Amino acid sequence: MASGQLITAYAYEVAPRQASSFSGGAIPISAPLQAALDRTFERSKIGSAPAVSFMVDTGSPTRAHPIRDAALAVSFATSPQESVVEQLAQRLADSMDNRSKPSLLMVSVHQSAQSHARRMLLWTFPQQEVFNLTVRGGHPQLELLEAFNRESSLRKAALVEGPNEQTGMLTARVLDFQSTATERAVADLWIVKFLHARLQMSDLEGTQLLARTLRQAHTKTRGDVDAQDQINAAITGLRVASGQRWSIDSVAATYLSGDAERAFLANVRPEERAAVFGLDHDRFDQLIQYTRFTLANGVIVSAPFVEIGNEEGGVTITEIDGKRILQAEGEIQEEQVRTRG
Amino acid sequence: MADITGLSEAFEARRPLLQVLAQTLEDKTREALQGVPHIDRISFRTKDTASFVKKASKAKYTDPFAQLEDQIAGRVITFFRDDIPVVRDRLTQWFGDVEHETKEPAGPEEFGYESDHFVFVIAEHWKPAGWESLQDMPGTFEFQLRTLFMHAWAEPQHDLGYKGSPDRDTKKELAWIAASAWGADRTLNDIARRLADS
Repeated sequence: MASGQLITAYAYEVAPRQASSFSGGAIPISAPLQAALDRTFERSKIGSAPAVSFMVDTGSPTRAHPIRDAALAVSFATSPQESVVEQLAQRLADSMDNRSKPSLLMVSVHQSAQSHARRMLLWTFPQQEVFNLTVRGGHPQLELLEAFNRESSLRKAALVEGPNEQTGMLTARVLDFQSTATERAVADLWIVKFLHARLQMSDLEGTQLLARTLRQAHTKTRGDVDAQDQINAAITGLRVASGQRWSIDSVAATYLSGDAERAFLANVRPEERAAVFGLDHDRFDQLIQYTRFTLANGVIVSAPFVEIGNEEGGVTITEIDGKRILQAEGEIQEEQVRTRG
Repeated sequence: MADITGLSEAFEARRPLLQVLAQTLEDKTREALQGVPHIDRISFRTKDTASFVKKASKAKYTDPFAQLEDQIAGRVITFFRDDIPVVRDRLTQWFGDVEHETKEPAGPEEFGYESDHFVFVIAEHWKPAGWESLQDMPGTFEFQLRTLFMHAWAEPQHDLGYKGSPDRDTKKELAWIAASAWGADRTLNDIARRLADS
């Protein structure tokens, strides 16, 4: 069983900003439900999804945290904990904005392969309109129904796993299928507002890793014009991209191929490649030292990773009569005449 | 009664992975504190097997491999007291803490142990290959942050190895050393501040 032996399951309908009682409750365990959850678990690949750490109360002796506390209570209870899951439903309702459709909140508790541990899966499936065609006595009837779509691109998930200990259930794996398409603000609703968590790779760590990896790839591919073009394009693209989260793998997939991609991925530990982070643009610019100068004569000088003002870099800027004058010197390694057509 | 041999063998089996992770965490701490001045040292250690078994054998630990959070521990020592909040902010921004306590004597007229204690989560992307193949690997590590003078008082305490409670004179002498270290720490910080402002 991919998701683990099912122990308990709950389902509630949750509307944005709903303040009153939620319809739903503990649902009977059955083989079809187990099979459905196993399929959903496998297809989503949540077991290897981005990892987050709960932002617990660091002064609390129990490491208090609303999601963690609920996960421990629900996972290790000997009787149904509907009131606890309803608190999660309330939290979800509070975190949804009025543009969101109602959602199905599903919480399931499973045995874990880790000793003394349990696993809690949290899913939200948004409501969507579906057509239902029935034919009775040769007469077709088409109805428009509201249903919760298991395959919706707007669904979200979290997997919390661990023992019932001080050290348990401090982290989660999260999926927000919506965030692959759009803005960080969307993903922040799930990770920050609802789960009250942070990505395990901080913006600073991720940005420094990315800058270092680009620099190493840039150095390694000196003389390879195509690879250098790809890396420069990646730097430009990353500098202007806003509101997105990245991983080393996603940068490689978006911008690089061939030798450039190989050089980029060569020096990154496999464990670090998939870790998701937000790009700290100011820090990225500082580390990349990417500056593009357009001179009065139309010449464009762009110099990533080259320290301006350092003779070793070959690019110096001086001020003469209030004007900044750029001097660039270096051995020509490649010359291309670009023509139209 | 705890199975000492079993604990020892199980800990020895995981120790190589803990050592690899300790090195990764030390590298990450150095990276996190790049550009921060007045860092005297950054160090990480993996608990030795004898110490682990001694602690794990206590009755309160029903699942020591999952419960003991100091299997890996790190420490940063700074020159001055004013550096502590700077380093603290940088570390919590980078690592994300689940526990933080500033340890200091209970009353204003007392002198003794001072240090910032943290517990941080071990992030998935720091774990070395093979980590998931072992059961009950730790999910957290401990971290201390203190000044040179705080460390100078705290560190020899382990070596002195009191048997029972020290006698009255020894207690007074230890308190005097703590007070002197506190005074020197504070004065050095004041000097550093004045020179920086001038």
